[in-house]
Amino acid sequence: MAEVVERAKPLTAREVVRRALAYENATLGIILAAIIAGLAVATGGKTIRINNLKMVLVQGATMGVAGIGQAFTILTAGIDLSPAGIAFATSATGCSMMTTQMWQNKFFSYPAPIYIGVPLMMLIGIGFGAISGLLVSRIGIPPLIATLGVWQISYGTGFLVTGGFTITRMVKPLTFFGQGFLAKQFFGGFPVAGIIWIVVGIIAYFVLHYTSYGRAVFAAGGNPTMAWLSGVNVKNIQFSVYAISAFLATLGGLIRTSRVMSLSESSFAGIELQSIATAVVGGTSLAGGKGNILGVVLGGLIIAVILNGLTVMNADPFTESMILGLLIVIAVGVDFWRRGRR
Amino acid sequence: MAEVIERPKPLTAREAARRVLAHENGMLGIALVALIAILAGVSRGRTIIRGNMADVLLQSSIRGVTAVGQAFIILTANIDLSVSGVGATSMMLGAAMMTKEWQNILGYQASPFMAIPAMLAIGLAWGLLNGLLVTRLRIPSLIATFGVWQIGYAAAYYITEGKAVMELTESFRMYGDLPMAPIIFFVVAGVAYFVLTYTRFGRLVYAAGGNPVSAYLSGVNVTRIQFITFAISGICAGLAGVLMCSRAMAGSLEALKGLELDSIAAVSIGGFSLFGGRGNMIGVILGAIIIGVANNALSVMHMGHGGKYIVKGAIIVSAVGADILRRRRRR
Repeated sequence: MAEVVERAKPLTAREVVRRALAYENATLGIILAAIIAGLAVATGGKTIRINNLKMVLVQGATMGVAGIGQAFTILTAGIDLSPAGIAFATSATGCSMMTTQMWQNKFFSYPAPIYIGVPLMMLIGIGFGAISGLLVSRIGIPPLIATLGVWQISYGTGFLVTGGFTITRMVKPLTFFGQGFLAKQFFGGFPVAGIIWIVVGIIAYFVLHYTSYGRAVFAAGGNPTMAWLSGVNVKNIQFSVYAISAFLATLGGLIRTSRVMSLSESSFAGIELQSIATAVVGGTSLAGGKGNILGVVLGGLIIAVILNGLTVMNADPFTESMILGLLIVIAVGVDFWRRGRR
Repeated sequence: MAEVIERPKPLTAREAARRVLAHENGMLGIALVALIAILAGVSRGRTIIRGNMADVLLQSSIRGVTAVGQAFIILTANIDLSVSGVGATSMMLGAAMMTKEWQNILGYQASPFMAIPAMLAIGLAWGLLNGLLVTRLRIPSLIATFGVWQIGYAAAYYITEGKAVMELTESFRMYGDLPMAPIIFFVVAGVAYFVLTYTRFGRLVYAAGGNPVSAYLSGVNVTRIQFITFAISGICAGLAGVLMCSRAMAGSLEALKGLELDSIAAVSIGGFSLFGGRGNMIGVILGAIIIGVANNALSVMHMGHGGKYIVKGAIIVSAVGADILRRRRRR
């Protein structure tokens, strides 16, 4: 009989293209490139300017970071509706602590420095996330309902702190997160918000794809029974993802608050849907167990680029939300179509 | 051997109480009464005055009709997030047809008899779109209805770009002769209850939700059932738009805000499993009223700005949590 020899396919250009397209996030990359190109043409090149690209990173950072947190919950076949409320509550508490208008500072008798205020904000965010996590993992309330309830509760808590007023005039160093720039000598500096987004993405990518915890998250979402039988503490995993999501929602809220240096109850409206959109467009399957962080980051970039393009073209907010809705439907449809074909 | 005779238990008060508590939603009804009592106490009786209770019933009814539609959808393990956008479209369309102001798209002031079917029809149209997206394109209902929600809201905005006022919808007077909205709500819920419990279609809905694979193997056209439930929900959302439009005598985009979450919460409180196949209409009615009571809580109680949301969130979580714990203990 003839010998069976395994020879690697020769690396032709055709082969390179085939391998690139087979890569899971290829579609997203292509779509992103296509959208950037399309918008550049539509706006006469305005969207390609360096300053605008930086704006895209800054504007997208909030929902990008929240989207990464959302991805963790969606991977466990759950969902998190509470980012808006949690961001509001934590940013309200933080702003109240760090404002120079003392009648709004319900916590200290002087405006707190950011290295006290910001960690406290994060702790409160994790606290709310813990509540969601407990409701879902211990009591067994469906994530939709549990996070809906926590959304309302945290939103109300934020109201208790702000008393319905808008908080402004926070301590100057707070602007670092949303408006700061690093390494000013290169291209006029990289926006800190964008750096935070990228760093969070890298850490999340590493945790999710290279640690046993990350594998446990995928297992708990894809097949909880098998995961349990394999020794994964599914309940703890479920608890932890809601804490992570809340933490990242708080971070996203911090970025936005730091950017506009004011806070009112409508500051974070819609952020939960944006975060879900980011995660879903990024290829995270709502049934759990499938997804990757690079996709989520790309998804966030796609949405940010589109929203930025619409703003440059002076579209009204309703057109924006309609396009966002269409985009999500298309993205998921494409994803399903791709899976079906395989 | 002695003869075994089956005699129905005599209907004492004790027996009546036992039957109520054993009913699936019995605890829910008691919880509702307890909730009203607690809120009455906390607000020093302000929530109990006749005008306020009528208002609660009215708001619950307007939002409750969407809960009825949502119930059908949740029974088949889907979800419909588009109800507030669909309702807004319906409301704006009606306002645009019936208004005396310059925003009228028809050029003349239509009568309610023309406008109301149009409003219901557009609700149905959105429902059919949802149905197509979910059954034909196989897009998960969460995503598809989310997209339709956004599109619906945008469409509502484009109809009149704001508010339209001054129409005539006298046939739906809220106070005065008869409160039409609660009557319509109970009639719709009653029809839905009848359909779900006593018709073949109703049983098919439960089957399609509880175990779609078995249902399919038994010859049930699961996708067609799902398609119909989306159409039902669309009509219900349109009906909510009709009721809201007549209540406010105007078209506005803010009036039906939060409707989708309220309807899902009402259905969940009513004991429906989000995985489908379990639940009945009495729970939906009770759930809708509980949500209405929760929504009403602040306006009367002066709890400070945040109190309303905290109370509402706590009510939703405790109601669903209690139901889940109760089910667990039963097994």
